[in-house]
Amino acid sequence: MHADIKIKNLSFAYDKTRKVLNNLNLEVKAGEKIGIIGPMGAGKSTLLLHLNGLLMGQGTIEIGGVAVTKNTLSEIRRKVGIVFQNPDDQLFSSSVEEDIAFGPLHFGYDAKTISEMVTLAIEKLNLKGYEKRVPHQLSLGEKKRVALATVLATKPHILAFDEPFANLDSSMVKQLVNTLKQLPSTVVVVSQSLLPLAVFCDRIAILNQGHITNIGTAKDILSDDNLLNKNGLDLSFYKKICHTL
Amino acid sequence: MKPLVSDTSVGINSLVHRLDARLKIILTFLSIFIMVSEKQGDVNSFIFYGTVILSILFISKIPLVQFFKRLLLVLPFLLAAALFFPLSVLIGGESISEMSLERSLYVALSIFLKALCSFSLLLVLILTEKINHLIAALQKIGMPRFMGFVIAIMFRYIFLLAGEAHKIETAQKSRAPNIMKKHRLKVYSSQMALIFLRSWERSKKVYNAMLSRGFDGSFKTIKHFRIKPHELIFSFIFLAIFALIRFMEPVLQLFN
Ligand SMILES: Nc1ncnc2c1ncn2[C@@H]1O[C@H](COP(=O)(O)OP(=O)(O)O)[C@@H](O)[C@H]1O
Ligand SMILES: [Mg+2]
Repeated sequence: MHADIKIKNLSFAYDKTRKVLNNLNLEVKAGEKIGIIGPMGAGKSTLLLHLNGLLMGQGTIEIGGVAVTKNTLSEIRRKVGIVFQNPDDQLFSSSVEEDIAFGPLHFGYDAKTISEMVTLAIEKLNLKGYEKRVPHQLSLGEKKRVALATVLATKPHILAFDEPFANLDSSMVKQLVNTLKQLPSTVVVVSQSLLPLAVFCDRIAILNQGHITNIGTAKDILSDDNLLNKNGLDLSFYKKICHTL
Repeated sequence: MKPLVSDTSVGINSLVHRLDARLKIILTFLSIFIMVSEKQGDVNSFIFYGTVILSILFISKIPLVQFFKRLLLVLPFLLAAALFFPLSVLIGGESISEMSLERSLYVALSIFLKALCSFSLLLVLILTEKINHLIAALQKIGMPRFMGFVIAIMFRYIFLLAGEAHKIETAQKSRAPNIMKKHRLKVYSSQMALIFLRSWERSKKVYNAMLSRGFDGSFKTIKHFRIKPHELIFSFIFLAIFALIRFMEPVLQLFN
């Protein structure tokens, strides 16, 4: 299979004094589900913002063979959907329906297609009956579902998630993991919660000091307590609990 | 905290709500122009303008509480602006202005009424149309793209500001419940700075989310803008009434 995401020598700095991303290389195959983990402040969110050209650093990024440049932005943004960490940043319309329609509308689909896309996304995420609700008045779990719907509506080839499991209770995590597992798209998930990744990720990459330091199957990475520890991550505590149970 | 403008048009349906957004914007500004062009100090016509505006309010089924709450928010500013004239006459005497105190009171009243009626019409516009539709309509009439974007961001910003203010206040109250009493001014000023900083950060994120979903500065809506014949008739009658009120007196004088 060809590489769906190809990142070569990517470097980026918010201010000149410190590089947040430093010579980062990563390839993700089409249809692959990849988890990206790493200590806080390692640059995971920053990396995601590069996938659809919201930020542009030095180096090259190719999405499905198309380089991310100023001229390809609209094509790239159709291909890459990003679900941000905080749904309050993602939802800005006055009704759920309108918020879901925003993407299809601004990507220039015709009215019939838009309404089909909205209906489909609403069905997929169990949002029937929520169409006219005001997004800002929903519960966090509901907001997250709407936020996902707004991105899924346009059927992007690549879906990127920033901390999707943060602040979710275990039943919501289970629901989300099942949704992610069934998605036909290439999926990139940045997450501090490691356990859910074990369920649906093909590979896991560790991002530290601005580049990918380790990459391997979910099993290889998550079973290596030393490696996790070295990167400020920890699973041994949970493993112990599971063992006792 | 309820912001001055919020998307409240959801759920209510009336002739005024259904009226084409472009038509509504043009009507609003034309009628404001007609009212504002009334002679300084002429207050009689405003009985009629007021009546028409109240009827529009009635037809539009806007909840009166919603309307008057917002009106109340700006009332102090309108009053302050209007009182400038009689006050300057009182303080400076007639040497500063040629007006008598009585005349200046009439001028003040007419300024106040002009502002009040204009603002009421703007409120009707805002309360009967979704903000996205308003912006799209403004762009269709010829407003430059970036203006639409600025309005949208500003509108979004008000919500963010209110949300952040609420969060910060709650956080501060829960940590130091008594601080508000002792150092009110200091607390408020540091709160304000924090609110702006956070709102700025958040609006950048919201903007990113919009860009991610294909936004390029111009707002699109599903709604088809089409003006129906009866809407044209309604608009014509509305404008005719306003023009009649405006030019009634001079015409009557012509015959006398
Ligand atoms: N908008 C910004 N301006 C300046 N610095 C930033 C900005 N966003 C993030 N950073 C800094 O860049 C680094 C990486 O941030 P981020 O990508 O959010 O890390 P992660 O998502 O891995 O926790 C952090 O040190 C953070 O302080
Ligand atoms: Mg992050």
